[in-house]
Amino acid sequence: MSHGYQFVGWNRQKKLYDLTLLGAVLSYLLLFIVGSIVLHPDAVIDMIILRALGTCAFVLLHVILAIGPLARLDRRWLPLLYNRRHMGVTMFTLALLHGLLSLLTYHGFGDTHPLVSLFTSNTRYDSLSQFPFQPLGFFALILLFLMAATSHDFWLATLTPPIWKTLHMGVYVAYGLLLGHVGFGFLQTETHPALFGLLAAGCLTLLALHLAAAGKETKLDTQDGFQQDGEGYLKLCEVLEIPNNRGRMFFVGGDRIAVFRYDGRVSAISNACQHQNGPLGEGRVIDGLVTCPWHGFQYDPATGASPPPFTEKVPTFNLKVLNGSVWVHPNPNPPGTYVNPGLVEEPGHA
Amino acid sequence: MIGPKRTMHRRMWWGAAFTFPAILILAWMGREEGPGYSGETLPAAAAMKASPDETWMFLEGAMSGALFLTDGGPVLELQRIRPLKKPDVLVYLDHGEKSLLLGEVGTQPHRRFAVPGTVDLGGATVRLYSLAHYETLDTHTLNEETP
Amino acid sequence: MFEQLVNWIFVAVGGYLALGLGFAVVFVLRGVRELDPTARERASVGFRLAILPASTVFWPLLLRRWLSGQHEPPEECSPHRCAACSASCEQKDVV
Repeated sequence: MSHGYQFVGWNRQKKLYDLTLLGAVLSYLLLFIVGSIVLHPDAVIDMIILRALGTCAFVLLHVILAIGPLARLDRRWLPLLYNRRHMGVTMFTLALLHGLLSLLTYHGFGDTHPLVSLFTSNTRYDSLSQFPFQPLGFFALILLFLMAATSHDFWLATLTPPIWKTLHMGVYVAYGLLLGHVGFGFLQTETHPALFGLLAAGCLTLLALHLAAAGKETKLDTQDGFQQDGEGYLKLCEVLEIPNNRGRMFFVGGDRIAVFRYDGRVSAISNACQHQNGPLGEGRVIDGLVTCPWHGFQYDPATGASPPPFTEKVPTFNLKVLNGSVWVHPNPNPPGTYVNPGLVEEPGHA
Repeated sequence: MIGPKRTMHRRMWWGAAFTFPAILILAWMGREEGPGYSGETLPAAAAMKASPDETWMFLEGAMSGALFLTDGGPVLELQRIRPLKKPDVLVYLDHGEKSLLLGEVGTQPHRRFAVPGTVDLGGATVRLYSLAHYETLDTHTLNEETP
Repeated sequence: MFEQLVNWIFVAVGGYLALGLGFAVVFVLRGVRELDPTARERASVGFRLAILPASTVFWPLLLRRWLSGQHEPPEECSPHRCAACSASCEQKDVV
């Protein structure tokens, strides 16, 4: 939601987020390098830096993958979601440095092109302990590059959020490739069981978090049995069940809608923010505008349109309030269509 | 996230829930079977012969090398006797004009490498290469009669 | 044989990316303002550099849109938007 495109739309929160991230990454690298020198004084510095970069990127990837489900389970994790793409670009940068250093170290001093050598020096696909793990890392890096390169809002608009999101779900494919890269590579050389245990713990923790988040979300998507009137309106809830200046979400018309109560009125809009399909129903109404909890995009609840000069719009739904109940028609109106808000009947009034 | 993407996401979770643990299990099996060869191509009973076909010393007695010609193909075994000053060492097999990277020797005392059956071992050279100094540390040339 | 195949694959990919880079430079200088109204308002140098790598990869998509004269990003396809769009199209047909 901005006037024009810039490299990064800096604000105080983003600066704080990025400084914290940079501090954490540098601290990790420093601790790893110093610790390795102390524990293995004969180890080569190239290998230490290689492993520092690789492990830092992999740990950061676990954090990135955990943020999504954590934010679903508890709203207090939402601030980490806000600037997650910066974390992703940082992780890609670390992985790229690791990849370039590895390519140079292992394949840079022969007569074969390093990239060709990467694929042809080891073709033991029939072996587990000598499985060619480096190509797995290469393909993971390609996926991470595609995600980092398309992390700007321009690509969200150009590719549209659903397609952009599909591309960025490639992070799970990258994670699987990296599990293989680490499992068939590093962990075949360094065989301490604790290291394998760490890898397994990270993977299982992510799977468990995603399962828990899915369990919570699925309940909302399997809502059924709304009472329907002769005009096709569905009775969703009682007005007073919706907190003031907040929303509630329902699964209607093939996807979620968000019903908001504000200034004595009730309106219903599509739940998916036009920016990154964030959940508008989890946002607040601030100064009369529905505010997306992910990145702050705003919409007028009666029209589903962003205030000028911004042009984002979401579909709206016809709504009526009868005897304190909210009734919504499941057929959406085109984005930006004005719908008369329902009036909240105050207790004690006719 | 819109509905169709949530559905896709859940299906991906099911895929990941089976695939990711499978990768971990396979990686564990690779460790358990010992570095250098896979269990399915070299049954344990036939995997290693009682005695090697050829043995030699590297680095003035710091490391021993042994070649086993097994049913599953040649296996090169390196055993560290004394700590190496430069532990990050790559192991190459030079045969003819080609140089095959077998793997690396890190801090573990014992490593095995499976040599592809297509490699002509007669007169091939096992070379230890230091990553620290970009130089060859030591070499051993196998017997000309090695099949 | 395998080495030759890998070599050819990298040559082909390299060629695709070289073409892409050439297109991307022209695109970030001129094309981006034509395709996206937000970029028409303002497109900083940092932004243009930021979109260069992905423009190198997605150049066929961007070239197709540029040549077809599109001046707006496409509308996203979600269940509500598609339902609303088809309903309004039906209404227009009736009228």
